[in-house]
Amino acid sequence: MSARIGGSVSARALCERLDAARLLRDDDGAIRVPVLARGRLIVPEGDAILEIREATIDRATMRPDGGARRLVLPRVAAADLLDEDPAALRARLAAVPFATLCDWLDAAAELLEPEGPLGARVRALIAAASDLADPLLDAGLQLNATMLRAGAVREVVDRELSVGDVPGSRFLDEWVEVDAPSWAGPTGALRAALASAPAPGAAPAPRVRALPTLQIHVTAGNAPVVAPASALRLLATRSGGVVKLPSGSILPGVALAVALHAAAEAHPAARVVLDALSLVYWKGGDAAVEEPLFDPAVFDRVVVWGAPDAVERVSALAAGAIRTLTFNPRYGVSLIGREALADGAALRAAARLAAADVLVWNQRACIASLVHYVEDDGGDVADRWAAALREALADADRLAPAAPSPAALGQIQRMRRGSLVGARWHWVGGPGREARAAVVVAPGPFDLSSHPLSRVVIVRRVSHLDDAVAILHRGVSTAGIHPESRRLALRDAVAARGVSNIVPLGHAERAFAGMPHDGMRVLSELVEWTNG
Amino acid sequence: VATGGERKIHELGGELRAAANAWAAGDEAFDEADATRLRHQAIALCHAHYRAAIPAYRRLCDEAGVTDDAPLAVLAERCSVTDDLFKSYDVAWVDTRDFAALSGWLRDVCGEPVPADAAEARDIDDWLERLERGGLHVLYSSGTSGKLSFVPRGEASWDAYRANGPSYLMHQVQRLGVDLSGMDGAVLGFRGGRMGIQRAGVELSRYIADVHYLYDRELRAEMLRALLTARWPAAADAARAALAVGQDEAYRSFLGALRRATERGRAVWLFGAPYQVQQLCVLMQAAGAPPLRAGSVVTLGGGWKSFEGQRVERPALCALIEAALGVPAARVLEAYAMVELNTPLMRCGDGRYHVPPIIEVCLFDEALMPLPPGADVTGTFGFMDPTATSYPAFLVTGDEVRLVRERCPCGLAGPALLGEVRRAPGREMRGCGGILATVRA
Repeated sequence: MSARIGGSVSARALCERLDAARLLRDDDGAIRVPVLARGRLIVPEGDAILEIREATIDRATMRPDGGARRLVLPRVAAADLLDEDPAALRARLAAVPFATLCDWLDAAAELLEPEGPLGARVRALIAAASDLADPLLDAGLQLNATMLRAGAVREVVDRELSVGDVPGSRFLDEWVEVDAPSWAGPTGALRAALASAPAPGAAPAPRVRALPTLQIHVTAGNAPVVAPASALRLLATRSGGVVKLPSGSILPGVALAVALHAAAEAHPAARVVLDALSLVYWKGGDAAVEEPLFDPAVFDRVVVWGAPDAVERVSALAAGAIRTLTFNPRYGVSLIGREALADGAALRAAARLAAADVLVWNQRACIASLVHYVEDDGGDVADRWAAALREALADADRLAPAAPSPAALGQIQRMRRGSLVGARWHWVGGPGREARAAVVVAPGPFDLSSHPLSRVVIVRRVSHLDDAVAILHRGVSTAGIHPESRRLALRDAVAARGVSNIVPLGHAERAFAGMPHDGMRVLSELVEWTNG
Repeated sequence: VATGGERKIHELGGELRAAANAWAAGDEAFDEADATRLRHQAIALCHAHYRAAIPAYRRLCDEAGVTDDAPLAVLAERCSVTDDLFKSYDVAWVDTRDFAALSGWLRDVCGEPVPADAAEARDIDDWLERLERGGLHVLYSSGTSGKLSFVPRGEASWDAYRANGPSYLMHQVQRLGVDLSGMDGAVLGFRGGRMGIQRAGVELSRYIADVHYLYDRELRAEMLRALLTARWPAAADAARAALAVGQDEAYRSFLGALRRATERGRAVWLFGAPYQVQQLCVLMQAAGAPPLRAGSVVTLGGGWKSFEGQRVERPALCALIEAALGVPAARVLEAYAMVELNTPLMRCGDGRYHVPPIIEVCLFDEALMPLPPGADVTGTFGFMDPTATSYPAFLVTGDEVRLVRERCPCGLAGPALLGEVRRAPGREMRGCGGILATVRA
């Protein structure tokens, strides 16, 4: 049975309400988690629940401490998430001023600030089962609040939806006159000939508007920012729909849901957007939810992140009837030119830059570098690179400790005793259970399907960086190239292979307002560009 | 030429087969402690032999700091290879027909001489044939991402591969009252070929004079590779069609062979993968074919999923087999086997896959560390098969199993796998970090 809780714009009062409802707190290893279904907070009650078991982490070693906890969530049905009159809903959403939306999001951001009572409460819950070191976790949670700020949202929308000099937010708010040459088309002359009366004058100037859509976002749990960022894209386009939270990172999305719900108390004009929004969890592949949900009569866009099976399954559900944006599984690489390896100091400096690109969400992000191609004429350069990188990763482990999960440890052992039995391993922490990171000089090509994604770098020798460029493809999201002169020289060739980001070494995670993602201006894909 | 150590290993292998025979017969002369002593002696000799003869294994030992005298527990923890070792070659060598490089790789994982002329091969099948002519039997299995695993066996290991199973399985067959002289064989597969699963059908012809194959030709590795590496559905369809050319006629002929056997009053030993047997049963029912004669046997092998990944449920299949073929569930046999294992585990009537005393089994945790032995342990299945000297047969699989150590209601003692065999969780790792099953870097 579902229930509602009240809301408040005060973070402290909100936390008191959460306490009273026994939500988002650890009660003897069980955490009751609410979800948002079309603007209503639903709490877990009775038998209509789902449970997710999580291993708890020793924050000192970043290894499982042998404990476990349960997230208890309400079970939702597709009917809870579908609107009966999608056209009317789109019209209501289009009538909400963008400034109103931004004010509401800003208030929610305030509630999510990590120093505040709600932010601290959520941070403590996430940290207990997160394998992200404090600096990475804190930065992620801060980002979740910062990107929701009015200024940030406006900056992104104004850049990503802009046409000519017109900022994008204007297209959300109104029909914008297009200052562009136009033509009547081949029927123009016929129309003039058919006119029974003198022409009433020139036709009105063309106008364009970016109208809201109804969206389903199926998000991934590889980082705590993915689900909130995907939800924010839905909100920034002032759209409605469903965000499926990932089992591996439920709480950041739930925190956003709670904050949005509470902030709407003081921003009733934004209530329409809240009422069109669902932030929920169901087990991926649950046909009882997914089959009725993916209704092309209701939804206009599907966004899917993550693992190949999820992308394939969700794309099949959309079945070509709903426009689908896929953030496919991709990975990052680093290309190291021989100039960077000329002397010990240059090599160490480059290795430290390269290490930063390995650390991105502990290598689980699609921009994180997994493979380093090192220019080597047949000497020991690749091994010297591996040794320097190992040192850099060891230092990184002191700043932001991480340890492979048991499954990743198993995968590392499989590589060591199978596909990479002939490789040279440079360990951080030592082989076996003590492993914390590793650099492997591989004797030949490596099958990426067995990469453990846990600060493990595969080093491949190439006699020239062009050889590495030749084997890049659309599966590579990001190439960090060093030194800068080589990056500029190779940039066009790398781009021609389908790589989306060609960045200076150490800057794989660099982002900016309006930045394309996987070759797309995503907000532009999420609105309905309409001529009127 | 076998070394002294290798000869001794195979002598011990013979003694272990004798022990397995006694174990399977329920012979009171079977001494578990003695079999264990023999097995451990053979394993220690194997380890020293692998170190001396197999370069990849030697490197693994060197990196792990393992010498010849390492105890068994250390070997399990540090020297168990994974099935990935047998496909650790560069697939581009196959694409570019660089069989010199592929032969070089085989030398690295193999303790036998690799025939030099294999480097001149035209394609995979020619490479395999040249190896065989030179005395190296290489079986393969299909893996994920279209990459074939190649497992080499010299004559002694090949002999063990063919002898181990019969040394203990015959007792189970005899208990069913099977009269091989009164049976015809029927294999839902190819007459020949080097894919591991196909060997069971080939071996059947050693014991039964008249064996009918669904496809009266050899399974070619190149055709299988075309199917596994197809990038587009249309290419997969074309490759599948090439592989199964004449399928309709083949099934008609197969049904005819079964009918003739029944008319002649002969029971049938049918072998096939579960989804194939299921398909045959449906065809039998549609054609109104009579059931097989009493005394027939069905042997299943090759996994419980179809090529498209659809799972066949055992109870439903057994019910279908009884309805369509007239073969009761007690006469539906199944083995747990893999191309890297000389010693298949047969499923008994009580649903357990029994581990013969020839091999040492060990379960591993998620981090691939050995789990302490216990009466009832669940983990990733690993084994040490000391009858294989041509390749490192200390192996961790990708299968999650439940291992029990208690006397089975069927009467057999020793460890046994209970319940369903599943893929270990770690073998399905995926994430946004860029995992494309067919991508190499």
